[in-house]
Amino acid sequence: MPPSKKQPPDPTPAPPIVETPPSAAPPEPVAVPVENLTATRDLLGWHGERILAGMSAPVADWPDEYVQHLVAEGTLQIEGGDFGEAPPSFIAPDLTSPETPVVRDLREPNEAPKVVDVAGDAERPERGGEAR
Amino acid sequence: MTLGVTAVHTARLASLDACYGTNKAPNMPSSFNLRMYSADPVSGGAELGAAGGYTALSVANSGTNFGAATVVGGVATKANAVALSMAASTGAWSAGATHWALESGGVIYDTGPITDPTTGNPMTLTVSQANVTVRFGIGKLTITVPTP
Repeated sequence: MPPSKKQPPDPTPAPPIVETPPSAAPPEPVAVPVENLTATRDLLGWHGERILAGMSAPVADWPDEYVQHLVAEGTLQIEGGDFGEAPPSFIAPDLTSPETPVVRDLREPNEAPKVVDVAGDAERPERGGEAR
Repeated sequence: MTLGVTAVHTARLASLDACYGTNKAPNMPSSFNLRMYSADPVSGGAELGAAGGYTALSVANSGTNFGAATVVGGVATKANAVALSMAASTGAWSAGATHWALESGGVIYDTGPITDPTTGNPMTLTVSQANVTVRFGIGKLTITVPTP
């Protein structure tokens, strides 16, 4: 009996080679000119000072949402940077005035302040009949 | 010897002044706690719990808070000279209050029923919500000694 002909192994399909476009190179950090920083700081006031502290440059290191907000409102223009529009979920803080405590009145309508006037008398009892 | 009514009043007024106000006796407390009770504390009534922000009101035993005793309607009367307001409630109090007391050091010096300031009728004071301030207006918290 002739030896069975060895079947060649099925050619394993080579993994497809997917040509992926080179990922977009991250934008080069763009340093904000000093004058822009100053203008931004002046416009944003206290809050801006706090935000800018420690992150004056490069802008690429700033929180995206914050930069998006600045770009969207026109406060900050960055050459070569495209941060798009602020996502709709981003609620821009009020950056033009110092943060102030928010006082929320959580009272229900039926819990309006109310004063209840009462009275009371402590009548000292008479003692015996000795003092008349 | 027969004493007149005026003399009787004088003695009763002095008695009240010896307890409250500027001319209090040296052994009287320098301050009292105005407390609320769900029943007559003389008969074992308990003070309200802390629910709803109830707390006793500290009242200095001074001439500012207690004026000189006077005769009102033929009755020697010591009254509060300023309004006494309890702390505003933060919710419902633990129970209705029917009595008040001026207490110091665990001793109740005077106590009486809570009454409607308009009618004088006894009432149960019920605080069922927040932001309620219970107030004894000027002259509405009194200690009296009836004239026989």
